Amino acid sequence: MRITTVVFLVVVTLLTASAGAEVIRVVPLDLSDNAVFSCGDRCKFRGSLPTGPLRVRIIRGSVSELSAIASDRRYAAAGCIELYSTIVRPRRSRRTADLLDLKFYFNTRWLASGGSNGQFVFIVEHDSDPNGPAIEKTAMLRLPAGPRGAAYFRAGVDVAVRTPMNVPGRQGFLVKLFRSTAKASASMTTTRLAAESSPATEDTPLPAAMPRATSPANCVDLQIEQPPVIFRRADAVPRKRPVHVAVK
Amino acid sequence: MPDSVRRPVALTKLIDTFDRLFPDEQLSRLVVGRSGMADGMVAYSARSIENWTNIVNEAIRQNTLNDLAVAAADLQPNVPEIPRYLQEYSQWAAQQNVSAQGIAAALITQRAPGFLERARLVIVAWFGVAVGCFAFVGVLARESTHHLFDLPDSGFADAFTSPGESAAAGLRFVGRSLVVAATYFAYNPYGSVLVVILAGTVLYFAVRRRPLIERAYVPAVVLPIVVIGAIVKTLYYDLPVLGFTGVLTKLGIDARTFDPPAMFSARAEKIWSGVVCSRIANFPEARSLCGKATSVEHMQNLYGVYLLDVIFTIAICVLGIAALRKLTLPSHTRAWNLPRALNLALIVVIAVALLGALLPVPWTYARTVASMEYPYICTAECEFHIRVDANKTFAFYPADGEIGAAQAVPANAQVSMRDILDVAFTNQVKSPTFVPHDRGRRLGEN
Repeated sequence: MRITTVVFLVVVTLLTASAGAEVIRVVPLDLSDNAVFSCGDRCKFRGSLPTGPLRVRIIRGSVSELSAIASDRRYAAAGCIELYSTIVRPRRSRRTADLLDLKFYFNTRWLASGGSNGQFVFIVEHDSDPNGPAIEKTAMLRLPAGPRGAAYFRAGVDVAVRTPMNVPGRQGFLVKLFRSTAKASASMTTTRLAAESSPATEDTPLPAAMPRATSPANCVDLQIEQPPVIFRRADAVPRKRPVHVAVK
Repeated sequence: MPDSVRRPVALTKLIDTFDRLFPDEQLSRLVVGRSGMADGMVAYSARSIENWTNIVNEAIRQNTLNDLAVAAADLQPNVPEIPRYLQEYSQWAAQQNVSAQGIAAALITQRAPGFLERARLVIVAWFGVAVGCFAFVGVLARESTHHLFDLPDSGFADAFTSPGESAAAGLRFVGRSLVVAATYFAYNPYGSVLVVILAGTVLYFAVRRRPLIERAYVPAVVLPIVVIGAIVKTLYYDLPVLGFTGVLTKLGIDARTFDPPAMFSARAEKIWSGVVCSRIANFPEARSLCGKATSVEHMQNLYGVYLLDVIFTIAICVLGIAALRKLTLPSHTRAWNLPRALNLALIVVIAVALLGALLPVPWTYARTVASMEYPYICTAECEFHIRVDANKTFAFYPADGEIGAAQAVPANAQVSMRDILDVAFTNQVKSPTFVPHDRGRRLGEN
């Protein structure tokens, strides 16, 4: 086969693939402060987000780490990276227009293995399927590698789930001493809660793994809007004495 | 000296002090014998206060009141009240320009000082302390509920400017505790009867075996019981749930949300699961937390925990207040008449122990059995209104899990009373639980 024929076939294949590619419209976010949550916090944000259905894509890792992966030459050579994500369709509050409520609470299972802080990237996208399930736990994402893929991750925000203060190894001597006696009953309760609150096969975090490089076929097309939306935790505002009105 | 002259306060206090130190007639005869008074002229009486009134009057007539005081101080050292009241009386007598016999002649016609005359100031002081404690407990009960909800402004500062509302909160606290006791009796009649029998036995033993109790009723025994009892009670019942806050806006159904210290975590989970499961035990999603027990069974355990807290607090307070009384007033038991510095130190220690035992109870109350019924206002969406004071009302929006300033209630709104924790916990237990999928492929997948 002649080289021109091969080039022609490749170009046709690429054009065919890109013509049917899904388009993801990303709402870039600019985090005004650290989005650090504790276990038990409700996942809510505030920001002047565009109207219309939105979805939030959650990926384990940090913005810098994921954008570095997207820029990695090994993935760029393949043309596309493939990774799993979780999609949550948030609720827009009737009462407060700028509130984006993801309706779930962070818990200890969001922490990384070894009891350290959990790191996640939250990316807001326009929702092409607003009637989809409230939570898609294993949504496949095939991003173009290189600068465009890196820009996608940089359009998201870092969210950390902070480890509770009282994890083993952080207590003082007296606490440890007491804990040695109270350990049996406490650990029984904790283990029971962790084991029974959800099936381990589904929700237990796996060790971090690298995304997979894949061919450009079915790679999504990205449209990143401008300008970025100022985004912050819903309850991160310094509390002021609210103005009250008379209530009958 | 005119007959209308009243007995001076200092003399009343001196008689009262002798009465407390030597309540037996035999002891009073011993003091009189040691003082060198002419014994034959004293009209002894089986009633202690009357006995000492007669002795003091006779000592004044014989001009041997100083000797009587010295003899008493020899037998009961560490009683600074005797020289103080004696000096105050002497100053009063010197101002009268009348002989000792004249004063005795005037006093002898007067009856022994009654209870009110002797204890007027003490009664006023104790009444003031009781009212103050009651109001402060009311403030704490209200404040602790607002802290439990993590309201932006709890109204703590305003509590002192509205004493009526604080007193009402105190009344609600006491009334609710009584209701809890009555309700628990219905839940667990056998256990309640057992507690009543136990309490009756202790009371009977205290009354009928008084000499035995008296021997053990010394500072070396009472002080450790009060202090250790207060510490243990507070550690076991109160401190585990002290850090629970923001239960409406956070995942309040999971005790780990509040990150209790390791030494309290098991206990905190146990108490808090009673609060949570008494609301949501019937939901299948709560099965892992609440087990197979019903809401009523969890409520029974919760009430039992709170009642035991109250019973132990009352027991510690009764013993502590009795000890404080012994330490602040002269006692016929020498062990209670301690040197001034030690006496003051023990008073401070017991007072701190009592405050430590008493003050956390309203906080525990708010986190266990307090009524959580609030106005539930529904229009397009529903919200609770939490009134802080006359000028401030907060709203809790269950759908958003948020608290904000309340707006005026619309005319078409449906208003009812609902348990705010019930609604909040139901929303929480129904919220999705998941962990984002790992970004890489699982092992074994292509």
